[in-house]
Amino acid sequence: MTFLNRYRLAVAGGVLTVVGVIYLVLATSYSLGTLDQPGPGLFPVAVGVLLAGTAIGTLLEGIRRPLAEAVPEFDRRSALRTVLVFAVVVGYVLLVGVIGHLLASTIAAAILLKSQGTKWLWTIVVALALGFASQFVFDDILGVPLPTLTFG
Amino acid sequence: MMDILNGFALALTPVNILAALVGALIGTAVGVLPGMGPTAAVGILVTATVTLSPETGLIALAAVYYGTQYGDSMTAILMRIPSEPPAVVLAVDGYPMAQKGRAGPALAIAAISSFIGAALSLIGLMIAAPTVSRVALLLGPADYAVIAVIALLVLSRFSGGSFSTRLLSLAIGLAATTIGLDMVTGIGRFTFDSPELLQGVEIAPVVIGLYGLAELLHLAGRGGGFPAVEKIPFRKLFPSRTEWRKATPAAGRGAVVGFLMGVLPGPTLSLANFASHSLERRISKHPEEFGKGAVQGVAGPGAADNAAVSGNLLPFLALGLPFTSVTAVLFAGLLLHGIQPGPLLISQHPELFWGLIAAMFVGNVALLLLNFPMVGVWIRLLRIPSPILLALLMVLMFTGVYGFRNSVFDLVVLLVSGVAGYLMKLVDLDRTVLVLGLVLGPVLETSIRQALFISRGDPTVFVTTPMGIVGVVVLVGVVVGPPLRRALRRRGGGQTPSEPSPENAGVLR
Repeated sequence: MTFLNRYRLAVAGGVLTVVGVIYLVLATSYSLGTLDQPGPGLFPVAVGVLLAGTAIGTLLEGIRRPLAEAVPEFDRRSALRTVLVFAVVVGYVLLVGVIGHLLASTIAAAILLKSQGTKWLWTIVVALALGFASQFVFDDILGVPLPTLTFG
Repeated sequence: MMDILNGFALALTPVNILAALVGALIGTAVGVLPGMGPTAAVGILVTATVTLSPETGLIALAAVYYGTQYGDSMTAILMRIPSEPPAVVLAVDGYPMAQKGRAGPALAIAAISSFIGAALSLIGLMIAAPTVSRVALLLGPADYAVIAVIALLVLSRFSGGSFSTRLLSLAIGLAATTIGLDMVTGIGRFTFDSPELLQGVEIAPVVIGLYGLAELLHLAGRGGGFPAVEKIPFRKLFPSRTEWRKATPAAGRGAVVGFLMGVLPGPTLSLANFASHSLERRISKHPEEFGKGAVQGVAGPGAADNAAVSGNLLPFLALGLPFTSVTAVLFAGLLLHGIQPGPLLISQHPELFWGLIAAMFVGNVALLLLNFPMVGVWIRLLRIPSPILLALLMVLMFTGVYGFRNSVFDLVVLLVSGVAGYLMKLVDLDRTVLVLGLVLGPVLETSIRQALFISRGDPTVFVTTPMGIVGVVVLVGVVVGPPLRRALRRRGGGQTPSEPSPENAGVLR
């Protein structure tokens, strides 16, 4: 089992310790106020202490007790498929404002379907069906406005 | 009595009945998708109720909720893939029943006991809620702060895993609530001059990301598809007479256990199901049948599940404090319709409160009427190849999140929460505690500041009221109790008995 697999809890604790410390430093920039007039910084500072403290606790726990069970996600093929889906979602978020929901969701669905081994014909049919159906149900029936293709 | 009749008059208009039927249908259709539990499914479908009137929206939400819950129990029973911990227990006996060729009766028993659990517990809610909300009117900000702390600590302590990792999840949730405009001073916190961040983080995109998108990333990474599901013809749905005889009293007991546990703060939805399962095993003449397809092991937890939700609605509706992630999403849904749950809801808007209760009855009946004849359709849905289901899930998530308040920023929140949820699952950090931190964080901060302001800076205000004293006792019990008990047990040389939990239930998760 790889180092990352065994010590993944410690790694998470370490990363969150850094996040917690940065959060705490930022929190101290807001006024704490007084006890009878608590300022906007009081609660964030308390949360920051809890965040950094428990993150350090988790880091130590992860070092003391490495995880025995490996996660299948760490093999190369699984990781690739996960990263691809993640990239598809990122792509949708970046493009939806420009090319609209219909096109963005159809492309996103097509890439996801193909990456999961679906045949080309099915990929195209299902992706188009999902794009049009979601646009029709949400935008036309339920009246929830979705972004549309903008020119210029 | 008149109030509830008025509630039914509100719920039983043709439009609202249609909303209940469609809500139950769509809820089940989304909930039945593997990986899609009630929290994420309701989160996605909240958007679909935005354009409806508050009453119709409430009814649709209630029906959607019951639908998603039933959908989740179907994947638990048929495929041993529960999406959320409460459905885990149903898989313990439901899946072996399905393996023995009794899948139809297992689904029927789960549906009928859910109905019994919901009906009995809603009666409990009708009796208790007005009284509790009258008491709640007497509570001050300090009491609210104490209740929020109790809820968060109890949940962190009893949701499995180590206390420090659970508190870490809690801290992440609390930290997220501090992003945005400080309501008291009007100062932007952690906004980095971004106008989107100034609005703060919405609950729905976070929940959909933490559960829905995270699950999608896991399922996409795993590949290989879901376990095959056999077709079930309609005539094979009906339980035998012996199964009925075993199931009915178990469902009644499950309803009582569920409601009583649901009222308490903590991971009560899962615990209620485990408590009901363990009660049934304890009182059974054949405890050896449990885990191998015992009917009571499906009926009891099936009823406890829904009853715990009604129990959970008591603090939610009477105090305005959701104690579970599902009620947190319902909370977001109610706010979207301009309804603020809390002690004033029952006195100032009785029509909405009683309308909601009636809506839940109607939603529940709609679900029972629909699910029986439509089990075949849901199973056909499960037989759709998994890539298509994943693509459907993804598109639903996009529309659900964007439609919430027409914001691309919410999609970014979805993305960040999805990655966070994925990583949290890998390292076993609890997502429910994070969500509760996110929901109760603003209540906690506002109450603390108000209490200190009113008491002119006296910090003892949190421990001198009756609620404060209860808080101190719980705090000592929760923080000091378990390590003390472990130390005593070590000195006595005893073994820790293994308790049933989602982790040791032998379920694919």
